[in-house]
Amino acid sequence: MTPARGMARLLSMVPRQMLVHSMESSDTAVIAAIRAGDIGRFEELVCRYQPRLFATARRYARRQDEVEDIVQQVFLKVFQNLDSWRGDAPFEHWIMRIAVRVCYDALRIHQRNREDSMTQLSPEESDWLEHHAAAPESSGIEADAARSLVNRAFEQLAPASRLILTLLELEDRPVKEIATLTGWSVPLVKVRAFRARAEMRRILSRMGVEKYL
Amino acid sequence: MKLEGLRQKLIRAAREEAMSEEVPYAFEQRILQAIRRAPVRDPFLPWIAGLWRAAFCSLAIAAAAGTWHWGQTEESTSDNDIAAIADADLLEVAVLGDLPDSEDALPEASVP
Repeated sequence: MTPARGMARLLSMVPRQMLVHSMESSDTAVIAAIRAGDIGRFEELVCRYQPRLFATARRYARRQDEVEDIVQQVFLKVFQNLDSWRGDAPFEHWIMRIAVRVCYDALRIHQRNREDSMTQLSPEESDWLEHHAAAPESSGIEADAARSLVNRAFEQLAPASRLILTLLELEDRPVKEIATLTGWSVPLVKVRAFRARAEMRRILSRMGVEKYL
Repeated sequence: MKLEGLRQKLIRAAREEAMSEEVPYAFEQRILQAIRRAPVRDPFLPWIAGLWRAAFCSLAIAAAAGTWHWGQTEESTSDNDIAAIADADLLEVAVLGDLPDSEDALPEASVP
């Protein structure tokens, strides 16, 4: 058995809880080093969290340059506010809270610069809707067309509505977690979710999907 | 109701799409460069901002209190004037009440 395979086997025997714990402590150690002035260690944090942040940012922005700007903004904020992380919650939760707030700010800026574009349904989208009208209970074909419809509807949503539907319905997060991530109260999250669903129905109606129902 | 069914079906389809975790090449280097380029944050900046905000609030409160006090003084001055006149009348009655009117009080001049 090669040493690498031996190490992999050894790691697989370590309980997951212990691995998570050691990662947390290594986060703490890296942050302590950065606070002490070793800025170069920040690269470790970037490498560890950038895949997750890119996946999150891609939910809110389509263009690659926008996604990169969002992630860069998140890391800059993390670095500038590193002293305010007290270590009583996992670092991952703290960084995700910052990420959600930066994404929300990006949505608001995007909304200010957005032009109202309500274009016609594409042939694929029309086909998908026709298929849905014929068999509403089926799981559906051409999921890409459905995703394209959702993306277009999300583009028209107000920033708060888009954020709440993304967290609640696309990422399937519990209301309490959303309240922590956004800084909103639990009742406010519920009210905004209710309004967001109604807003999405209105947008779908404006897009002309009702004639397929 | 049908629209809500369609909406839920669309959301289900969108939920199945896993977002890519792909990271651009050497992105971490770009972050480190941005951090080194970024201006150093003054640790007193939040304090300064807070104090400026407090100063503006204090000015507004001082202006409001000044306006209110000025209005109160105007009102009380006019009240005081009336009270002063009333007091003067009372004093006059109290001091001079027992005295006969000057015309009556003067005894007939007796010419010897």
